[in-house]
Formats: sequence, structure tokens, C-alpha cells
Amino acid sequence: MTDPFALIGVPRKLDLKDADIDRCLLVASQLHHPDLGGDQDLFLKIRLAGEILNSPAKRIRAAIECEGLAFDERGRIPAKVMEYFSLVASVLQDVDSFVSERSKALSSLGKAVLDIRVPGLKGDLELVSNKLNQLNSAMIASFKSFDEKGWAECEVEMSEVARGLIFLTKWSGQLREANGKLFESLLGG
Amino acid sequence: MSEVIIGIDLGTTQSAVAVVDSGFPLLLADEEGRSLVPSAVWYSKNGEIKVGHDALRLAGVEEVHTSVKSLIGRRASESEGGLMPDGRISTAAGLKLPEEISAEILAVLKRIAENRLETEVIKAVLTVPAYFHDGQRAATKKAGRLAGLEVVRILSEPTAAALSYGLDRLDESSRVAVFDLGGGTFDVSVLEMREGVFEVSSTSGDTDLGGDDFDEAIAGFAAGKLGLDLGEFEAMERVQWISEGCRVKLALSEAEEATFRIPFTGEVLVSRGAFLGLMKPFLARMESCCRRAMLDAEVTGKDLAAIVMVGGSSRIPMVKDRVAMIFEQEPDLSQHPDEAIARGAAIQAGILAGTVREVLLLDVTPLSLGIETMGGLMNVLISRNTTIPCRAGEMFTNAVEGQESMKVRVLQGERELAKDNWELGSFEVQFEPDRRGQARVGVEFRIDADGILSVLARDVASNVDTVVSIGSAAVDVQEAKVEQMVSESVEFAFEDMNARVFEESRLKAEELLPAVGVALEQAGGFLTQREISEIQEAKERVEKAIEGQKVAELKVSVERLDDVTESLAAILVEEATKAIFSSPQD
Repeated sequence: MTDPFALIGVPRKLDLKDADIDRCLLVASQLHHPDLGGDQDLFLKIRLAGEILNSPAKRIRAAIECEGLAFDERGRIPAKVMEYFSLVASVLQDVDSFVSERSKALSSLGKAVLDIRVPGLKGDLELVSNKLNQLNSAMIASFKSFDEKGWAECEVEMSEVARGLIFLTKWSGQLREANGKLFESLLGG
Repeated sequence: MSEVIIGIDLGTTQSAVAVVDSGFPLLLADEEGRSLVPSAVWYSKNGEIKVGHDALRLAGVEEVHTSVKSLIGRRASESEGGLMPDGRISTAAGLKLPEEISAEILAVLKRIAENRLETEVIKAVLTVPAYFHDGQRAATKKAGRLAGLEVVRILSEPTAAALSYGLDRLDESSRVAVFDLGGGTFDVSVLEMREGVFEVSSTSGDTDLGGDDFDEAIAGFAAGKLGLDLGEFEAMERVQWISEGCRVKLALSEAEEATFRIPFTGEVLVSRGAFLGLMKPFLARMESCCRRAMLDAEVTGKDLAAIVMVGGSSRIPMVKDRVAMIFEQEPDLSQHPDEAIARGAAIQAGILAGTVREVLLLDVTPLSLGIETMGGLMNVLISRNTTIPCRAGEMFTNAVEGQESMKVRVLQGERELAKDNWELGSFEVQFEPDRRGQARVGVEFRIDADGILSVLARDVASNVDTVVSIGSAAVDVQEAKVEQMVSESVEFAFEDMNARVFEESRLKAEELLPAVGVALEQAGGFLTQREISEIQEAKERVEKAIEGQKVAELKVSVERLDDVTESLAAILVEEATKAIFSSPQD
């Protein structure tokens, strides 16, 4: 793969500030956008690189690949991440069953009575989201030490963090979608 | 001098053309000084055509085609009878595709531009609602070609409005939302503006929501008050009622009440309050889109520097109020609601022509693109709000030895089940004969800067790319479904109707009866004693009807209970809505 760090011109580090990535991506996009005379293929590669670097999970995965280190998708997952799985699954299931029950209700009062559950569901979603965010930040905090020790020295730890982050990112996305479904079902009347 | 590229806003109710002159976008007017052209086309039997004001003058007397935009790129089954089964519209001059009719409007705009600029115009940027899918964008592009234009870009309308808004504010860095409510479509986008780069963060919308719906709602309300049913009117009569609905709607933006008047039939006084009641479901749909756009952009109302409102329907006071409520700030009304989009189209035209410098637009694809997987699920390849142009690859292998090809269905939409999304079409992946899992073909999906898809298949062995043509969904799923439903209903026609009516009412009663108790406990305090006893009486009536197995009585009493509990339901929903939209931490 092409090195995303080199493509948009950020330092080859894991510990990057979002604003710095954004800034470099903006400059590179301006330089290579086809509307301003740039090359379309290169522009597409730059956008993809931006997407990778903007997501900590994808960034560390790319770092592992760029460094030529081994990555096992099915390897060990941080215990903390595993612990949260049942939490995420149960709140997602609650939201899904609420949405489906509500869509089947025949009368506005029938729907309204179900809506009494909404604040509780919203609270659960927020609680789990916050937990995931905290864990996410804690794992990203390890990026700095990987940079300091050198990526090649942290093959195993980086892989484990990458796998954990991939799950956390996926779950956060699902929680966001669930939140969206909740209000769409409410506003859908 | 560099070549001229014009910007065109092809609207549901009116259209406009603009061009950038000395760095500033200008609307071009016809000989009579009018810069807005009604999107109306009239045909005579012998092929005579009138467009715009001339066509609109004949409305109500003869058949005039308006709001064709709501049919462009659609399938007959989606059009509520507006399209014939082959996707055409019946006109006095024969069957025409929606894009052929739209092309007449574009041709007039092209002529206006040529007269004003005193030069031939070939290239144009056309705008479409941000939420238009691939088929609607492609059909709009075709309309341009039919009018003799080379369409150099299909641009999303709210993005165009943002360009118009931001051109004077290029040195600012901020996030804004654009709320675009037109005659037939609604879009909302969140953008980030930095150093001349306009980057769309998210977009959402509804291609079946706009001013036309409000006109019809008012007409339907007035008809109801006069004991009539809008649904049973003749086409011409319907047009007359809906255009009176439009007049009342416009009047209600200024006055507290207005009279709906149909000569020799009757008058109905429509208050703003009654209009608000009619608008409620539409406002809820708008709010849902706005919330979705903010959620996707990961912003709240407070993060936004401005809420730019455009589109004719943004003049309606209750729409403005709702926008202020959703985004927690007063909307920005600095842009001309009917002109901003054409100006923005002209700015994008200027960027492409090289006359507008140091401005760049990064737009997104509004809908997720995916393919159908086993089990009828949608597998997303490019998620919504990805910056365009973009691409994604997918590898296909043979599932059994010697398999020659596989069919891939391409979908656009946000639903989990493939059948709930819009089917773009399908194509066949051809395999070389090989053992199971050995024949491999890589397929690349590209969405270009117009938001239009192309598909390339790459033979892994030879590394040769071929463009795959996507056959439009030949069997219209919807139509097949309708046919099935029709045949089913014939079979069931001989069933005992009474049993069905009783069963339906009983199910609803079983839901309502326990709900009444729960709801009264939760929100009974908000009701008057009289309301409560009304509900109790209605409830007892239902219980008696079930006991007595009385069909007609059960149906009536359940409806009564449904009615009297409406305000109770509204209170509960309002409480729930408040809870979900309050921001807890700040």
C-alpha cells in the first residue's frame, strides 16, 4: 500500500493531533483536486489516506503495514474491550426492539406509551458511549509510547491495540446509528 | 477570454440561470427583465411548445406540465401515477420522458444566457437536490444534453447556496448549515469553510417534501371543510384547488389568516393555527433530517456559525421558527431564497472555467452505495457523506466450480435490507472457468464529482479493466409486489368481511386499553378532569363492545378512543422528544 503519512505529508508518527492531520489533508486536497487541475487518481489516494489517518484504528493498522510488521486479525483482544461487548450488544438490542415495536403499534397512544422508554434508552446509549470513549482515549494514549520506543519494537502491543480500536470504532458507529434510529422513529410520528 | 460556463438552477417550481462576471455571480434576465422562469411546459397536439410564464398562463385551462422535477429519474411505481409504466409522461404531443420536458426549460435558460451574453453557450453546471440518487442525477444530466448543453458538473443545491453565502466570507473559518426547502424537495447540509475550501461534512434530505405538499394539504383541508374530497376531483379542478392552496399559503406568511375561495363552490377561512396543524407532519420530517445531518457531522446547533435558509418555502414563518428551535439560533436570511442556488451554480462554473480562483468545493455522496449480499442484506461499500470523487473495490469469486458469471445488484440507501433501498441496477461479473474460489474478478465502484456511479471490472489474471454497464432494474420490484397484492385481494374478497373488521378493531383495542392506564398514570396530571372522564367513558364503551362481540360498535368505539386519547399521546411524545434532544452535559 502507499504510505498514507507520506501522501498527505504528516510526520510518520502515531501520536498526531486531529487538527494537524486536517490541515495537511486540506492543503493536499487543494493541490491535487481535479477541479483545480490536479490528477484524479492521486486525489482519490489522498482522500483515502486522510480517511485512514483520521481514524486512530485505521492509522495504527496502517502503521503496522507500513513498517512491514505482522498483523493477525484474530489475535488477542484487550480484556477491557471484551468486557464491554455484552454492554454494547444489550443496549443495541433494546433500541432495536423498541424501534420495531413502535413501528408495529397501531394507535398514537400505543406509540406514545412505548415512548416512555425513550429517556431510559437514551441514557443507556450515552452511558455506554461514554465508557467506550474513555477506553478509546486510554488506548490512543499508548500511541506516544509506541512512537518513542519505535514501531518495530512494539509489534505485539500495537497489534493488540489495533484490534481493540477496530472493535471500539465499530461499536461507536453502531451506537451512533442506534441513537439516530431512536429519534427517527420518534419524529416519524 | 476563457470560455463561458453558465450555472443553472433547475427548480421544481421555478428555474434560473446565472454567470460569474468580474468575480461576482449575476442572474441573467429575459427580455422582460424577469430572472425567474416558472418550471412549466405546455404542448399542443401539433407540437407547439410554450415554456415558463407563457405556459403558466394556460394553467387551469389546458394541461400544463409543472413539478416535472419530482418525476425525473423515477420509476413508474414511485410516481403515484405521474408516470406511465414505461416511465413517460402523457402529454398533448404524445408520451415524453421527464428529462425531455425538463430539457425544454433548460433550452429556454440557455437562450436567455446567449441573448444576454451575446455569445453561444455550450457548457453548464446544473444543480440537483443533494439527496437525489444516481438515477435522478443521471436523468438531469441527460436533460441538459437534450437541451444542447454539455453538463460539466451536477452540483448539489445546498452546496451551491453555501458557495453563494461564503463567497464574501472566504477569509473566515466556520461551520454552517444550509437549510434548503424548495417547491418539491428538501435538503439540509452541514459544511465547513476554511481558506476558500468548502467541505461538506454531511447532507440529508427528502426528495418528496416541499411547498407543493403544503399547497395540497391546504387544498385538502379546505375541501374537507366543504364536505368534499380532493382525491375525487378531476385533474383540472384539482389544479385549481391546489393553486388556490398555494395562494393561501403565501398569504399566511404575511397575515394571521386567509380565505380559501373557489368560485361557485365555497369559502374556507384558514388561520395560521390551522396551517400549523397541517404542517406538523412535514415539520417533523424536516426536523428528522436536520438532526440526522448534525449527528452525522458530529455537531450541535451551538457549533454552527450560521444557519443559511434558502428555497421559496423558507419564507414560511413556522418553518423559520422550527429551524430556530432545532439549531438553537436564529436563521440567516441574507441569501435570496430563489436566487442563491443559481448564483452558487455560477460560482462552481467559474471555478471550473478558471475565472473564480482560490475557491474549492469538496462535496459528498448523500447516500450509501452497496451491493446485495446473500440473505438479502445490503453490504455498504461507500458510506454516505464520503467526499466525492471516491472509489471502492470489491473482490468476487466463483462459489461453485465452473461458474460462468454472477449477478450483482447495486443499491443506494441507508436501510439494512437490500429490498428497502433504491436499486440502481445490476450487472453480471464474468468468470473464467476454474475451481471453486479460484476465479477472481475485482470490481471497482467509482462515484464521480457529479455523484454518478460507474463500475469497472478488472480481470485479476490479465489486469484488464472493462467498464461494466449497469442494466436498470428491469423487473420493477414494486410493480411485481403490487400485482401480487392485487391477486391476493381477489382471493380474499370472498372472506367474511365482518370477521376481518372485527379482528382489526380488536387488535387495536388490545393495544389501546392497557395503554390508556399507563398513559394516564404518566401524564394524567396534564389533563383536565373532563378530558379524563371522556377517555374513561370511551374506554368502557370499547370494553363493552368486545364483550358483546358487536362489530360495528367496536369499530366506532375504538376510533372514538383513538381520537380522545390524541392529546394524551401528544403530551407523552413531547416529553420523550424533550428528553432525547436535551444535551445533558452542557
